[in-house]
Amino acid sequence: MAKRKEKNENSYHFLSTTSDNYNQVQGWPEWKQSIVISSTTASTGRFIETKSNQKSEK
Amino acid sequence: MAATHQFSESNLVGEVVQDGITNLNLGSIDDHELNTTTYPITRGNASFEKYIRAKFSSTFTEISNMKFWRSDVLGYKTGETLKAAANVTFATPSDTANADSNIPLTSGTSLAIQSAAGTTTITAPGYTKYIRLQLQTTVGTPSGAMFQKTLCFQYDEI
Repeated sequence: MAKRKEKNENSYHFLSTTSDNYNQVQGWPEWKQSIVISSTTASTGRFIETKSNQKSEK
Repeated sequence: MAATHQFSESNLVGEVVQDGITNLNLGSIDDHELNTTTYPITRGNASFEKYIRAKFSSTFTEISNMKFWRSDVLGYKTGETLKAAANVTFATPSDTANADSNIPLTSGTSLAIQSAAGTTTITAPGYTKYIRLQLQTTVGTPSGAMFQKTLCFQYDEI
């Protein structure tokens, strides 16, 4: 007795899903490598107190 | 090829630009790289404002995530505070105390710096917007040298 061939629905869906994933991979942005750079500078200053010394003559 | 970064300061009414400055000394004159002994700040007064920018040159693809803050941990003398404002327009520097905020002390709270065009990225050689700095004191600030401050400009480069 000959076996009857049946359509395999699961295989069909599997191929479709694979195709969708492939398109998503193609749409990913290009990888860019960035580096973090810190540049510093120094700041100084000096404070003074202004004093006055007054004498009154009598 | 990497970008070249410089600090730049502008002074006087004519916005005279000085690139490649080596310090941000604060004092009682509107000038870059000033001598702090010659131009001290009388306590109770403020320093002249400094208008500084970052300058990027050489070859690069993109500069982004630009940050500015004070990165040392030496603190302040009594009554002393360093004020900072980001992305401001140049004006003739003044020694009248302004209303800017205290400069951030951590990377996480740093000032976000924009390009001269007001965007968050730089893709061609040029400047950022200005950062304004001013040191303010009170009559209780002790005379003598302030703690040296380290000011950090950090960025990502592609």
